[in-house]
Amino acid sequence: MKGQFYQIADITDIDLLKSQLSQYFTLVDEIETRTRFEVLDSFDWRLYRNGWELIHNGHHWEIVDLDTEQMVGTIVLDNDRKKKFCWDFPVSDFSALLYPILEMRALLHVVTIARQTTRLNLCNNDEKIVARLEIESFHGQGDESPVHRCRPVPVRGYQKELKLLQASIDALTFPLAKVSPVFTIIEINGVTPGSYSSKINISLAPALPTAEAVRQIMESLVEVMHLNLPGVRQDIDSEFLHDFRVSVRRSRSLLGQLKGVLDPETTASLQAQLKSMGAITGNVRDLDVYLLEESVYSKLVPEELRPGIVQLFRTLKKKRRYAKDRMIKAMNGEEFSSSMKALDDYISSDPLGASDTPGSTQPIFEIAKTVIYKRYRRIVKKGRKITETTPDEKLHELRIDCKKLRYLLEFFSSLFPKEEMKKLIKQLKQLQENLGAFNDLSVQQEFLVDHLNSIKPQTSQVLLLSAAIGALVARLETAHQHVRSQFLHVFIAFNTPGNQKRFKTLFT
Amino acid sequence: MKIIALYSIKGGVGKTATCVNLAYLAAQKNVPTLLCDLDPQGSSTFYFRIQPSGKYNSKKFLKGGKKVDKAIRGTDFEWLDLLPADMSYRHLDIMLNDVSHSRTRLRRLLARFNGEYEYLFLDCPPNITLVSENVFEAADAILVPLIPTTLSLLTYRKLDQFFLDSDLDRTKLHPFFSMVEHRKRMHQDTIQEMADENANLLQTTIPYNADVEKMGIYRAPLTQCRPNSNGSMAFSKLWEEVSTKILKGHLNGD
Repeated sequence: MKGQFYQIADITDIDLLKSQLSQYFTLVDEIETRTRFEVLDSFDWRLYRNGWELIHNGHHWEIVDLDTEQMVGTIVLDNDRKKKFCWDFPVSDFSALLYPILEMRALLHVVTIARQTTRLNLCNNDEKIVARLEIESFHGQGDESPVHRCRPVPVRGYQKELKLLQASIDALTFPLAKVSPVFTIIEINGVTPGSYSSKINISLAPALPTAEAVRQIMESLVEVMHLNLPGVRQDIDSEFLHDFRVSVRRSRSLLGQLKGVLDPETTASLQAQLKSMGAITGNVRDLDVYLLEESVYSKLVPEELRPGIVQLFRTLKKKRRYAKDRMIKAMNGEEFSSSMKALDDYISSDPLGASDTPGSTQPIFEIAKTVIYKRYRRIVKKGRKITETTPDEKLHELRIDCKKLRYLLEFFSSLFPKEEMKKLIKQLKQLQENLGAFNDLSVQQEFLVDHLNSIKPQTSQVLLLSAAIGALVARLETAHQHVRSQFLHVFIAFNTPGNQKRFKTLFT
Repeated sequence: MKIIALYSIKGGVGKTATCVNLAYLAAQKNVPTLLCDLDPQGSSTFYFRIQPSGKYNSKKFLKGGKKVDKAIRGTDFEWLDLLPADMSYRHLDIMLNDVSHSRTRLRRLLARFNGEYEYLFLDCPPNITLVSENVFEAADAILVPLIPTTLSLLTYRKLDQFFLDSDLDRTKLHPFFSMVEHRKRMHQDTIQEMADENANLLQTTIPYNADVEKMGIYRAPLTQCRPNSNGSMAFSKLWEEVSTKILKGHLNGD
């Protein structure tokens, strides 16, 4: 077992340690090794959050556990072509590790590190190695100072000598190195690993005037928009646009649900800006949703019809290229930049000065309780009315209400007990999943039927495409009915007396 | 775990040199390897610059368990550990006589290293004694270095006969020629004669090499300090042959 790493603030401290050790041992430096590697992660730090570090060095790729520094997986490729997505790696144990973590997110360059490892051999009078000291230095690309660390490496059967080495290290009071040196360097470079997340994380004081609380939430939502825009423009992966759009939707939902307490003019103007931002980006996102389903769709149809699915996706990819070009053009236009500017202006304004509605000065805690409870009551009322014969539209309406409640719970979760909110969100999530799947299946069927109507079956190829779409729609319809039949169970699970009581105690 | 014994009735035939080098080569592949120096002369122990602990002796060895674990020393090479020999090992024979399962004692003792080491090399004392019989029982492969002389062949035939008489597994025996001088006609003839009569003979021969003798000065395996010398190349070839032809199929099997 190798020992723990110790931090060395200054490399000259090693000379101090050496002079200590030379009292007991003959010291022999082993040849040092130098390696250079790149660290990659997704924009939202998925690997880091999973406790991993992805290392790339030429043909070698390695996943390392951040805590233990043990290798989790590795692959050696026969080329050093750039790998952007997990599906760019050959099917292997390695790609199987990445898939569930990375999903559709692209790998981005985080940092390039040069590592230098030296082994100091501690020898006895027979010139036999009785212990080792491993010294590592990590250099980033910039002129920031390198990070050093060392650790004792025992040789079996030489306990006494190891104790001497350990005592010499202890005498210099080196602190234990807890964080991976790679991430220390990243932080020196001014980046906080794991900092970006699309999740809402806002801490509000209960007494905060509502107008100011809304401004603060908007500020965090607009920040997410700004963070994602470069990735949207460069089209790095589908999730930049998705996160951008979610922030737009959340903003609309927030402003819409707190309509009465804010200045109506500002609200109306911002809502219009947000609406147009949603419209500009909607088409590409819709197509992205289908493109992400390619492998799922392909598995839904019999093998003979799969070439038809390939054709379908070829067309969809082409459509997406056009849609993306149109979107980028719109984003470079006057309207979009003035929308972004309107949002920026609003979040840097003094909302209390600009509004004189009576609600704007009320404490957010009270307002939050009212809007959450109102939305919750509406969901229960609507949900109870749904039977097996209720038209689909009613379920779609309920889905929208649930989404609005979900956003509210997330915006205001800091005002209420954490554990209780977690439970509420978890239960709501199950209901949303059912309704979401139901909606997705409706939309997908509709889209496919539209697509089917737009093609003229003149060639055998197109016939195959049509047949594939037909098979797909049939499968989706079966799933659609199944999800629908599940609704009543899911709703009963949501609408339990316990949950009702929880909502009542928390929000009234 | 595979147990490989280096054994010879005669002394001074390159047994220890082969054992040290093969063990080093095995460990070079990052495979946990243990060399057990059973020869009271402790030449393997000396080559690795290891001083046996004063507290360790043949009695503790035969008792087995933690006492043996504590005597193991790491060599200067990662993945290669050594169980040092002690002068008291010269009494191992007599002591073995007094214990139960006197022929399979060693096999039982070494079983505790299963899982900890992948390869276990035994550097055996010369002569046919109860210690050797324990080695014959315990080992998966017994490598027998021979100098290409008529007398050596005679001795080997005696060993073979002993295996036959004692109902031991003769297929474990793998002779190979050591300290070969290819210029010598007699060496060539003897090698040919042996090849004709023994299918178990290893193809690789270890040449007579002054460097091998200098190992006592370097106190390190030749394959480590002079990897490109003729002797080192021959040891590498020998390990290649042993690990791929003889031990192949055994590995991971037990």
